[in-house]
Amino acid sequence: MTSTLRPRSIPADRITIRDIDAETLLYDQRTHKAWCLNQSSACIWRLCDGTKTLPEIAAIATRQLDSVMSEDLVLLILAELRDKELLEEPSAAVLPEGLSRRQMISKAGLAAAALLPVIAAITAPPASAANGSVGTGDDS
Amino acid sequence: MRPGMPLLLDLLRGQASIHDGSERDWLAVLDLAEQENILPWTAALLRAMPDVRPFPQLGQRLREIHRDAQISAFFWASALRSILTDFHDRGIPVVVLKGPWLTERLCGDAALRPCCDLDLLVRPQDVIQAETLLADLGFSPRRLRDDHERPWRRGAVTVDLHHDVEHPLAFNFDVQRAWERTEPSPFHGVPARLLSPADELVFLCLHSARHCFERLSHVLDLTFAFRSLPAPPAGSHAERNSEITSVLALGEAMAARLDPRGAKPMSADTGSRNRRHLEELADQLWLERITRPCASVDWRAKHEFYLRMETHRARRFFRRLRHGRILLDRLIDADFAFAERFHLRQRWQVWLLRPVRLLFHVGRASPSPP
Repeated sequence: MTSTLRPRSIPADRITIRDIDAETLLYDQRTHKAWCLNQSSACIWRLCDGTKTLPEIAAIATRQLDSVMSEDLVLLILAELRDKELLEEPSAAVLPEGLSRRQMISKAGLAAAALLPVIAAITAPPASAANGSVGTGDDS
Repeated sequence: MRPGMPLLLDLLRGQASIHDGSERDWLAVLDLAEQENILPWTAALLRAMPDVRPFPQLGQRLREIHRDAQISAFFWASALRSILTDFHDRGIPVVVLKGPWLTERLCGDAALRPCCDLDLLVRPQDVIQAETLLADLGFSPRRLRDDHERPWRRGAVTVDLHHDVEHPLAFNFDVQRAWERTEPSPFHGVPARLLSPADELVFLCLHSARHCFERLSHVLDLTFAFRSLPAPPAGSHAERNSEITSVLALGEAMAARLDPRGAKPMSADTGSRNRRHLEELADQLWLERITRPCASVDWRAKHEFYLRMETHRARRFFRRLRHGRILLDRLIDADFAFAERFHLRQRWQVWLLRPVRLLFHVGRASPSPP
């Protein structure tokens, strides 16, 4: 099943992308959500072009990251990407259940920990926190 | 001065070296810069210093600040671009005030100035359409439309939708004429509009005055602005309007206190007595800001500050009349909060209770009106 799966990321015209050092920032114009991806997550996301199977993605990612990227780890990352709505349907819906983070570390050891996906939501502080004053309309 | 302020000011003026303070001193400077809303710029100045290596904790903090600032700038620039796209698709002309775009133009990098909301200016006749658009985009109004703006919120993003930059009775920006002078300019490929450079300078001075120059960020913005933006030309509304001229003069005076080297003489003549008064006011303000944190500025504090800017007793009297006139027209959160005590929520009921509230001065701001 996984050997035929060809995941696809959401279309480029819906996303604003910026790389900072080893992280990749994404802004989804449809959901108006922003994400900060670590290196492994960003690598997998970029490889999801709808043409590559899981084994192919794992092999390419292993070369690009210079670390062993197992199919289990790719599945784990894909699950995170799906949860953040960064994968396009229908490939997102048919992802099989993979290993959890804890199971991944147990299986592959601490060496896999560095490759575990980190997809953090980017939020903004509330307006009052940075502005200080309450503005013009809240008291007289 | 406040602890850390001398070192911070030296750094901002380009007169500090890394050895002027210990690591602890510099970390305190960063804390102070954060309070004053100028953390990214301050951190950038420190990062540019030749040798921060003796201070590993400081170096780590600077890297964190740099990363956070880049992430924040990306977020706000992306949100702005997305919203401008929607405004363009609906055919609603919009001017972008302050925010990441201003920082890009004045400082070269949107990450150098913190952003906490987006300020958009639409023509008065487009307000309803713009509010409908924001509602369609999932924004909710945070309160009633104010003197010149209404904040809308969607998750972490607040958009202040302006139809003016201040109540015309407080300061007549002549927003209609300003619209005629706006210039089309794309923001990251999306069509939008900007105030003319001279109007933008007036706006920034007015913005800082509205906030009573409560943070160093309000002064730092003006140092950049006065370096890059031209003063209003002779014969312009801003140049002929003495109150706007005073706002410009005060803004320039405050900018000069932070960056004396960047000060340039104002082309507009405010009159020698008025100029002296504004210079004295700038001295007072500057001393207040560097010796203690500014208390939160509310509507009353803002209008009391406007009074301080007036030189003549007669002008102060007429300004009080205008402030009273402004108050008559508006219900504020405190009015609704007071009426809520009696379980009254209709506007006419809130109006009736308002004199009672003002009489007993029991109002307090509430987060949002019913």
